Amino acid sequence: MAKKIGTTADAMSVAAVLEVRDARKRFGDALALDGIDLRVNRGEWVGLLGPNGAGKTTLVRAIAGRVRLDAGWITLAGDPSSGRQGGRRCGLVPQENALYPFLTARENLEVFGRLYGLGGRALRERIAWALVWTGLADRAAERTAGFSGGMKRRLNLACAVLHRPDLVLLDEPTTGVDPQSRERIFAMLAELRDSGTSLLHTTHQLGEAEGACKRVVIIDHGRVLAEGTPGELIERTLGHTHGVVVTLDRPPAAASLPGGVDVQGRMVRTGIENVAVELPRLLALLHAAGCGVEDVRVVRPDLHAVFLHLTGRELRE
Amino acid sequence: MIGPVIRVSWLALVRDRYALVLSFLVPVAFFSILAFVFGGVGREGLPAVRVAVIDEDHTGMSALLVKAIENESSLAVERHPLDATASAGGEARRLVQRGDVPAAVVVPAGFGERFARFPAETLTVELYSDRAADPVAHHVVAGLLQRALIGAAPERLVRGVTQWLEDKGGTLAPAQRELLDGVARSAAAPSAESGAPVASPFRVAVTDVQAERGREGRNVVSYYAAGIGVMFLLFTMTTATRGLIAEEETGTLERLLSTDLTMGRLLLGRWLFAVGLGCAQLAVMFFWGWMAFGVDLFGRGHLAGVSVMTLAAAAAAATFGLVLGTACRSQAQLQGLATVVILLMSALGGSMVPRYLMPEAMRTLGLVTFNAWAVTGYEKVFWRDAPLAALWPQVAVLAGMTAVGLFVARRLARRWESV
Repeated sequence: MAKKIGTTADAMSVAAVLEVRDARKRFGDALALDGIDLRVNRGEWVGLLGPNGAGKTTLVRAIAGRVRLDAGWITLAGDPSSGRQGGRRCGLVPQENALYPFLTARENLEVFGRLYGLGGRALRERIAWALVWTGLADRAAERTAGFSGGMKRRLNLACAVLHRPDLVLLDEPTTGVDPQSRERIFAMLAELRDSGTSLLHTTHQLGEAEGACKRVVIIDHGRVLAEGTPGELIERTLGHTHGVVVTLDRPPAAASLPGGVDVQGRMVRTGIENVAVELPRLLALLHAAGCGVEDVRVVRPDLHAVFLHLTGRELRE
Repeated sequence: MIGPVIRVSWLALVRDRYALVLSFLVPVAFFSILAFVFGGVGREGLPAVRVAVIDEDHTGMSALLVKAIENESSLAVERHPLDATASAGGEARRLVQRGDVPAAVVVPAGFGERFARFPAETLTVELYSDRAADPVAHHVVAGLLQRALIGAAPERLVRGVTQWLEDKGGTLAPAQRELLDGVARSAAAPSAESGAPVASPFRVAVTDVQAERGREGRNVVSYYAAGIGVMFLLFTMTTATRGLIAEEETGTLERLLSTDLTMGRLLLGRWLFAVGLGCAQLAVMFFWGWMAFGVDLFGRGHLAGVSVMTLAAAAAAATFGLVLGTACRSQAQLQGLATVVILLMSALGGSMVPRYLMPEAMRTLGLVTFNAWAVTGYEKVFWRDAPLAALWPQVAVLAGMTAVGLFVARRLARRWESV
């Protein structure tokens, strides 16, 4: 089932900010990365998807220079990711709010700006920009301990981009925030992308990835399973099949239904390619079987379905 | 309804090994340490008191007295030779003041001649001690000296009395009888305090070397300023380096290490800050001690000594905090472990109970602690007026602890680096 689907052809023609080649890493008996290839181009927003334990975090940490590969290599705008220049070319946005709660928003920005090598006027200008960008200019002198989850998330993001990195590594950047804050964060990220910054976005919110990412990479067991635009992945993986879920007033007799139809109590699920033709036919069959239809839902194939199709439905814990 | 609450509390306790240790083991350990110090548990009687003896007389009679002192099983006598140019009293003062011995006895020049004229002349020996440092030694030595004076050459004493009576001539008059009875009484029950009653021919001239310098009591205050300061220094250092674990828990460490910052620089930054904080904390402590309790902070050479000791102590304490900060996996673990280790080190190392009150074995055991070396160093400065050069053993040990601790912390921190 784990089958690698080809890369987007036009992506290779643009300058690469990130290149990962045959990355391999083992922790004891666990193979975290098993020959991953990945490329992120300038100004590209790439989603990195995978179930728990797929190797996403190891890959992101390796790109940030925090994990040494057993084999393979990673470059950031041509420099090794573990080197000083490589490190400055990327900004890491951890899943946790990696801020000092006893510092103000401005002080947090100052600390991380200095650690990224900024100083003097350049630092002051970038802090002023970041405070406006995050909408925190009027809260700049407040300690972040009192900030809302959304405000912390925005500041968390700003701390990673002060030094204008070529690539921003986003690890679940919208975890635990309300829809309004999520919208705001996505607007900020879009602004970054439009300014030429590349984004590698790790998330479990598949809807987010489908809506925002130009390209999506699905990995599991340390390998790339599929890569492409969301539309390409859906078409390659599931074709044009729509999911249909029909709720009946009673369980149907299984013998009365054709193969490929999944019955669970009063629920009937199946996949159809031509909705206009095949759906009336299915409803007629159910009616003939003596079942009354209470509800019909037609589900367009999405990244969620692709993800489950490629990585399976078993729990990863 | 309260059953689940009690059950949760119970499970929280039994699954937190540090809470268990703090609840049950630490109190028992503390009790045991104090029992050893004050209760004499584990000792076979009181330990012998170390006393230096300087014979300035160099006569057969003074040799007999020294021998008698040596025969006292409660005293551990160290004969101390004297340079021709040195003063016996000055040397005895120096020995006690420096803390080499808790008491020093001087058999003064002319002691033998006076003994020959006993009881026409008072027999005097000099005792130098530091009552604050060892109040027990002072009384023990004074009492035993009286006994040694009598027991050194009893036949000569009797002969002297007879001679004296003959010199006085004839049979004993009532007044003579009364005088002889007085001598007998004072010989039988000598005063340990000031030497003797007026009529006594035996006198122990006692000098308290600290009271003589007008410092009675203040040295004990300075001891506790150092002891308590050093103990809280360790707590402060643990808090200062706890930030490392907090940074790990919030993901900040991951971000920090993805910048230009290396683990070595991160540790160095944390350590330097902690050293500065420790210096400031101890400075405030001693300054307050000087203002409120007369700690002799600005005495001759004290400021330099305090500065050196403070730097050495703060560096070692900061390293201790760094080792704990890099060894522990969570802030809760750090807090529990630090409390246990610091309290035990402080009890053993003299931050709570003065080391001079401890049995010898416990004093030796205490040398494994940071506290003992730091407190001893401060004691040398404030109490002994030791010159800067005399602090080298303490500074060297603390510097050694710092070097080893920094190495260990650096190794432990490797778990946070690239894997």
